[in-house]
Amino acid sequence: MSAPGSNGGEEEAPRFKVHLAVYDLSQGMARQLGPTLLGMEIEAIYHTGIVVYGKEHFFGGGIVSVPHEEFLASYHMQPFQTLELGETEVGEELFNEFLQEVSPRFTAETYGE
Amino acid sequence: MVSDSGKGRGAKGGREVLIDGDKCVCLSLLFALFVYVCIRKPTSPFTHDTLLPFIHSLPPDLMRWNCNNFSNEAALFLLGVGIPPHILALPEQVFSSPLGALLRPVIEQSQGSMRPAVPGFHFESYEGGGGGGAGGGAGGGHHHINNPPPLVPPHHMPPQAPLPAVPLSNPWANMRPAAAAAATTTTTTTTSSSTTVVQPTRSKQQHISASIEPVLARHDKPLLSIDPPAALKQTVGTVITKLKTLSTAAAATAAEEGKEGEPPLLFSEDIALLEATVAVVLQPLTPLPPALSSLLLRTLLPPWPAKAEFFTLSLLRPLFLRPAFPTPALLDHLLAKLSAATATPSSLPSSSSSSFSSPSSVVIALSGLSNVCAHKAGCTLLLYPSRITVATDAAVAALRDDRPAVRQMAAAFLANLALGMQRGKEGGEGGREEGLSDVVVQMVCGTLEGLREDKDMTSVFRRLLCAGRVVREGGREAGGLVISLGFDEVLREVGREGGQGGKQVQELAREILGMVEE
Repeated sequence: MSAPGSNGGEEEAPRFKVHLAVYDLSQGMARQLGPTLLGMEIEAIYHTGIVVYGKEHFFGGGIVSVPHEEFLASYHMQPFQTLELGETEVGEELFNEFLQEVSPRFTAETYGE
Repeated sequence: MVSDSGKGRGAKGGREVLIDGDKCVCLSLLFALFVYVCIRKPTSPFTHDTLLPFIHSLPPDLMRWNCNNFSNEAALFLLGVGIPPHILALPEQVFSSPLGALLRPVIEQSQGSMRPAVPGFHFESYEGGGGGGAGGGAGGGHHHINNPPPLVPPHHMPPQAPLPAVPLSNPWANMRPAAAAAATTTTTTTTSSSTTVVQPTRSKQQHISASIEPVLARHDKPLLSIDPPAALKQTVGTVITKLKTLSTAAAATAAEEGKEGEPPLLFSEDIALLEATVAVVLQPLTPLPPALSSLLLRTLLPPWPAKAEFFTLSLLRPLFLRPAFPTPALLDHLLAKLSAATATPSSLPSSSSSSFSSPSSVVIALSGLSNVCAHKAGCTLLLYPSRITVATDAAVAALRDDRPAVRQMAAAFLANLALGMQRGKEGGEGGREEGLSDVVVQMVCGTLEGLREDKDMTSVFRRLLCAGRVVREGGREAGGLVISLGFDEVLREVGREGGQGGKQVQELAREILGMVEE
């Protein structure tokens, strides 16, 4: 989960590790109460962020990209799971373009009327 | 449209975004859990009123636009593979539980009309078989006239394709931000270009409030709790699965304890019966298997665990809308339990089988009993002298509950009973005895006493409906009773102030006052 930078750098196409940070917004409550309240096992109330290029990209009323460490510090959350999703050849700039492209769909404003 | 408020991508520091995390399906699910906990715990600091702002702050369409969908889409872009499906499936998973299915309408309804509602109890005025015997088999015919679009995803498929272009049938689709949730709901379109949801008028009261007709005359239908077909199907399916699971679990325990001789909770024919029910539950004209009501009575009794009660009641609630379904034995059992549950107010729910095991069971039971009033067959059963007395006493006792959900439902039940009595009289059944019956007195006193202390306007309005109906029928004598007990002062005050419930309550109070003073 820590700063997944480029690795395998000798090739011309650098690859970047992509992690999925999985948080439990219920802080364990869902797991505890799920069986009683819902009659089912609930592992967690998931929040996820994509960690790539050393930054955490997530959606919270808008798309946010912050350095992963900063995210952990400012939100006081620790992922209860960090899944390694794979390695990508997509560079940061291209990914930023992607974010730009999807952001209209993922902004608080689209929630309005 | 593009993030222009600093909340967008790369927001400086990102600190303020924390609160915006609310706009995440995750938190709203958490909220749903909270609602339930609140209702269960009498000591909870949360009330419906304090939680409503939360509901309103939730954006619509959360199923499709949440943090996990974003992560999924980003992962697809980067790697061509999505995130683990169980994360994406969480909302559906939660809503496939009986509680989830029950919680959906509250969120939806609150979003729609600001009217505090009770989880799972989507009240509609409904013309069932109430008009006479002719309506006999058509109990379900009108169920979804005013209902919102199907609320439950009709299938269990995990959302494979992220952000599909086709709108998902999605529980959150009707949700709107607080600003739009004004008292009058007409139609509204939610969000994104691809999804246009027209929200039907939720409440008849609001719908016709423009007319000059007196309030009482406008409300000539019982208050019923009706599920849209998809939700109904889902609830029934889940409940039946749960009952089967409980039965299997009990058998396993018995085997462990070396009690193989014990009969199973569910015999194979019972299972067949339950499965047959799933098939016909959406076909109002197909009769339910006759043995079903006795089976469901059994699941309410030992040796079935208390857990089965909530599930059984969830199933009874919609089934009671069918004229042929409610049986005297079932009604007697429910009324006896209700009586026991309300006899000792504010006591913790007892685990004994003579009472309901939880407050939510009380709420659903009251809601189910209200549904019995949908048709003449049910009314006749409930109005049977021994039952109506127990029912009225228990419901009046429940009006003293400190949970608005219980009060709302109890008041609805009373209003329906009063309507049933009025209709029974119109039908010329049984010559009226002279003087006011104990039930009428109990209804008038029970609903008007402490009316001002009830801060829940839905409950207040339903209480007034009950009182108004009884007073209208009781004529001079009922009016005299109201005045002699000083309730005219209560009515005057409510008529003046009305509370935040507004016009509807005020008008009705004045109307009753007018009748009383005549």
